[in-house]
Amino acid sequence: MEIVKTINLKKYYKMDNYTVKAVDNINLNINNHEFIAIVGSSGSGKSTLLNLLGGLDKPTSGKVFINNIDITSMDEDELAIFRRRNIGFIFQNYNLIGNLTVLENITLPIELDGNEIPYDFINEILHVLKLEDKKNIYPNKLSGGQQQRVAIARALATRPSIILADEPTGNLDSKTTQEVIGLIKRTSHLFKQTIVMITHNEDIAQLADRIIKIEDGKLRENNDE
Amino acid sequence: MNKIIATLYVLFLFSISIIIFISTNSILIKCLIILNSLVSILMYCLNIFSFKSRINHLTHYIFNTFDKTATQSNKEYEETIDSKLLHQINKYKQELDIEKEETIHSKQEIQSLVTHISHQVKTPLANIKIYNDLLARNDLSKEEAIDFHIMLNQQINKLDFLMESLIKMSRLETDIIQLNIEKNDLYSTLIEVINHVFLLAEKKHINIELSKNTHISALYDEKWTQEAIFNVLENCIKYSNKNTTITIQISKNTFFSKITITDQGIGIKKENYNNIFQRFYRAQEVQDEDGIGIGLYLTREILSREEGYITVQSEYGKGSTFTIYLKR
Repeated sequence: MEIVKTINLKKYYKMDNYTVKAVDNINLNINNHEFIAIVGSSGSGKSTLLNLLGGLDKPTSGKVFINNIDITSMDEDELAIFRRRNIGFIFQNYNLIGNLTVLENITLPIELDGNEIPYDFINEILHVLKLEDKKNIYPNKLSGGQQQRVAIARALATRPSIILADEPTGNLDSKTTQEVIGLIKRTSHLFKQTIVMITHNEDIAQLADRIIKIEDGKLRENNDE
Repeated sequence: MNKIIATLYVLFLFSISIIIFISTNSILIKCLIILNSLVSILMYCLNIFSFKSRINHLTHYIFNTFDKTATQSNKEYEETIDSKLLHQINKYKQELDIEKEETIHSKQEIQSLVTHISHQVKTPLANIKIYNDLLARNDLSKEEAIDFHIMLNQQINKLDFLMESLIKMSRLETDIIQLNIEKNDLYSTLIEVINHVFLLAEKKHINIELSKNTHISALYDEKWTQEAIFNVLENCIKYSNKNTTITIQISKNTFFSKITITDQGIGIKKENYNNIFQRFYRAQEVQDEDGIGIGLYLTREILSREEGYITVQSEYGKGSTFTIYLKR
């Protein structure tokens, strides 16, 4: 089943005398439970693609389907709610909220949706990510790797259809990078999540089930199973 | 509780309205109060009506939703209570659909596995028949008979190896295997594996070095993990030249224990990093060697089930480093 599907997706930026084709006619299919790595060098269009997949940006033309729902034709309000309920994000610079504790950061999306917090599930996530004894600590007291673990927990908490990770190990040293990537892989397996990770680092991309290369806004598929 | 408070509040407002109504002499105020009450009752009824209508719509949608012709409801992404309910229902239905698909997919995988096995077995079996027929002739010289016997033996061994590997793989894939995950010592596990692979290495004069007595533990199935590591080592030996060295090191971090295996072999091109772990994949460079391309695939599957994983880094022509991560 295709969790994510794009059809002729384009994002063009019109400058004075030329057009920047950030995403140039991309047709992408991602199946559920897949761990996909989108690899490309700086300026290849991978961040733009991720933003389009996550509904954080609207395309110039083309469509993005998540769970067979066309998100490109939703209005801002609907899209915000859709994102909150269906997509988890992990950013390169963690983006945790400084005056909330670790636990509060993790349960924030759930609380925003006005739902009851499923403590059993949250405790399971905390256990897998070894954050149990850091529940009530504030982000500024945590190391980079620990903060990213909290970000991963937050992305998992709502059991979204897909998790989008933008260079999740970009700000981490090589040892912590190995840890975090291993955790992303393990949690995706354990909690049956679909994960789309963008990175320029081919060494960590190899952990994915499938690697998709992007260059100048176009895709070059590699290693199809 | 909330219901009680709400009811009391309404009664309170209502009583105030009555008191004002009775105590005032102004006709205007009396009319305003009557108007206010009528409008309040009307709003209340409309609210109930709209809520009921949304619940009815929801019920109707659920009824149709288990029939594939139902269309997506456009009320799923609002902030209302029934919208959230609808979302959860859709989520649940989706999970059921996914499970159904995965079952069908599993079945297809098994079918393709059976096809592949019977295909692979045909060649050695045909060869065995040929050599067997040849040996039945009575016009063979002694040398020819010995030769044919040797070749027959080779084919039988090949078939044996093939069957063993394929059976292992299908057991793993169809989840017949139950992993017995316990705390084990990596050093002793590695010693066992090195013992198994020793003769193979000896033949090519390949030296295997294990970092001194570092006793680091991890959570894994002893038997299957030995198999996983064996496959990696066997590959390293296969694709290394004579008189080279393979170094094995053990280390750990917060979440994982690591086994790093470095060889001085032919190396792996970066674009093949992911490929080598795929089922039945054999690189261009190794077409001449024996093997069916499932060793590393099995390794990755086993490690994955133990919540571990494997990575590779290589310099083409110089050597490769495989790193195995096991859960702590």
